[in-house]
Amino acid sequence: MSNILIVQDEKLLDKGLVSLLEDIGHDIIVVSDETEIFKAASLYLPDIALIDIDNIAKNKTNICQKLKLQNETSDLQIICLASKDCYSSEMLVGADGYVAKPFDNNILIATINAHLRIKKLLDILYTNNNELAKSLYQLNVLFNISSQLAGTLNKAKLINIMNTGLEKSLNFSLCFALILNGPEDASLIINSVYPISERLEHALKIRAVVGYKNYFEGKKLPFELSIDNVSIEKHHKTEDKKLDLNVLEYDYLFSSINTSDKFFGTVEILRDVEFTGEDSTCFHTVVKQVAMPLESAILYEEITKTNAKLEKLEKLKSEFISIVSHELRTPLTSMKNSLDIMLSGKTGEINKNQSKFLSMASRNVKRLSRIINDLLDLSKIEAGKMEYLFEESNIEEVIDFAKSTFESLAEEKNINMSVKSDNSLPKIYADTGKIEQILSNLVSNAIKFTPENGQVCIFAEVINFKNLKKDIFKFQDMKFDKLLKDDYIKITIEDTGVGIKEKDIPKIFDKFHQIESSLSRKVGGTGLGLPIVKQLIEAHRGIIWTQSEINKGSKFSFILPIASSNNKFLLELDNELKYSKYNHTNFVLINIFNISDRLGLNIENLKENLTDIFEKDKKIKIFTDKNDIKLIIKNVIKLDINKTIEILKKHLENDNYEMGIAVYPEDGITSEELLDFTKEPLIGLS
Amino acid sequence: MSKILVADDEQDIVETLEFILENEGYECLLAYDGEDALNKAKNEKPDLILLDVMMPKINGYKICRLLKFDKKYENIPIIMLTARSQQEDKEIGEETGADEYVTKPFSIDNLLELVKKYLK
Repeated sequence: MSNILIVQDEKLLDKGLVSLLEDIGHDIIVVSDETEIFKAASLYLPDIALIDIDNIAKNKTNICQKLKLQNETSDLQIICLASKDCYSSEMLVGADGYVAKPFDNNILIATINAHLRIKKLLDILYTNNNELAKSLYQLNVLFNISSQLAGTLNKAKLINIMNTGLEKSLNFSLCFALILNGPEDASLIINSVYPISERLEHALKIRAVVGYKNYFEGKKLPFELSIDNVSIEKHHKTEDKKLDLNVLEYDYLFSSINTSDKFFGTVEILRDVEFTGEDSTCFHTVVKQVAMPLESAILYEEITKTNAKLEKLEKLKSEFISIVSHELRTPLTSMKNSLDIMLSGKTGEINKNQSKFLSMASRNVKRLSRIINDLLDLSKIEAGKMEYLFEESNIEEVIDFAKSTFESLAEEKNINMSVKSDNSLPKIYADTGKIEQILSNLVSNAIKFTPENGQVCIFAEVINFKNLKKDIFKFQDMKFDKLLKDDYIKITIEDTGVGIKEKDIPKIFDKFHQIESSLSRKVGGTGLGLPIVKQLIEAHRGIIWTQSEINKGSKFSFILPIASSNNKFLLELDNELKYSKYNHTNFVLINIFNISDRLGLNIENLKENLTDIFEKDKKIKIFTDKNDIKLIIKNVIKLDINKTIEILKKHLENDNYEMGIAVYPEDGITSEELLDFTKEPLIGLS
Repeated sequence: MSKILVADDEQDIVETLEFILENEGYECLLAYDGEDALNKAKNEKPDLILLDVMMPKINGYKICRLLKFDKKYENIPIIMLTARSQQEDKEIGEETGADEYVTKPFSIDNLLELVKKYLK
């Protein structure tokens, strides 16, 4: 059945034809006036218009074209009827067909039928096209959602992405998601186009809880839930109207948010226009997509909480050890002194047995002090309280120092100690004292665990980042991404000692993990030496690793980055970050970069001026490079920063430069990230 | 004269105990690791054993269990010595059938009293 609009002003079609058309089942609307055409066409949306243009031609209006240009009648099929002598071809612009007057009724009907068929096909095409466009849009939204979902581990953000996705793809009137947070704790997140009434809010609460319970019908609920335990979060888009209970009569889609074994909640959307099968597929796809990242987000939340707890405990433990160790030192000192006095014979002559036991006591007191010192060192490192005095340090000198220190010990056991080193090693940026401690520890271990007549050799060489990866990745699971992509100095201490069992190698850097504890004790070890060494090396952005074969010997290698302006500053920043993190203090990092002309800048002068405002304490550290100045200012209050910037600007008056500022604390940030922040120049600095 | 086996991997402790016990007139057998201790316990059949827990090769608990569940040796009194003092450790020690459990640092007088008690 079709609508046919007939435009005529005289008796164009005889009654017989009109009734014939009506008999076939067509609806006929007849208008005679030109102005009525548009009205009728927009109102009845006919499939075909029969226009007698003879009459209209007098007014020279191009009616076909006008109808085609008008949006709602653009797909109307127009058939013109005209006498041969009465029309111009311009009049036919926009027309789909033409029948000359006078015409045969049969020809007209045949033409009408042909155009009706065209119209029907066109309609189908339009519908399909629209559906295709909609699917494409939904697909696009889905794609967007999945990439957004992958990018976050924040629960609230995930729910938000889901809501936005559903809104964009399905145009809901109302969406409510029941998210379970824990036993008897759930939140209902309601997103709607218009604000919702109180009655509706209450109804939604009930509907969500009932929906949740129904989902588990006959099965055990993950959590018991009553409407009193549901907190509500509402968002709406515009204020124009208010949604009330009648929304509940809308078409709806419901789904649970779950993975195969975890349940997170339910979500339901309502719309005044019915949902199609495709809408339903789209809805379930979106909801399914959110479940997986939601699981990760919840796990991540738990891990973060546990981590914070552990960190706190670790800090408490370190503090405890530090206090206890200090307390232990006092009585230990008295013991040591007493024993030494007796052993020296100052309290009277001592016999052989007395001497033996006094020496035993003295030896053990020394051992105890060593353990306490190591404990203190380790707790200091772990609490971020170890201070590092970084400087350009010559590794060759450190090796010489270690060699000369242990030469006599090696000679006692007739151990041959040698050094093989590249010529003129570059300098490293390090705390020389700590590097001495590292090397001494490793060399003394090597000597202690090597039987008489053995060998201990120290190798030193330069190695670049690429070769480094090839060299060590096969031994240990190392985090290369954390390494500076610089050149390194690699030191290896090789011995022909007792070696370490393969299964023990991963444990040797663990605290208090003594392998063959009796052997370690026999040689005077504390079980803390290697953990300390490892921490010290890592504080220099280095790594240590071991290769060993039982009864053949061990090889301890470590690398330290060579001094470059970049890693110098990063090491200092690492140190500062760690200190601030564990001690809950803050600092400001100011980065002045791309300075065009440093000639006019007197760094010494600047330093002096800046230290003046910080009362010459150690609150400020300044690092200068070719075109950069970086400042770390500890424990700042607002006034200090402004004053500092003022002074900096004064000193940099004649230069072009950019300045960026970052403030710690920021959760889980690395030195590199912090530095990156400061590379965004400050806007509107006054 | 009673024979006492002293087993500890810490030389200083073994020597100290040897001195004290010999001073009291006991004969001492010395062992510095678990394997040595077990062999000496089986071969020499001492009248009492002072046994450290943390020893290389075989730990003290295991030695204690091996001896106490063997009819031939079950009557030898065993006094466990350990540096750990947690209750849990003590319970393990008792489960293994040790007669006494002494935590380090122990007093020499107390230890001697215990030794005398078991050698009567």
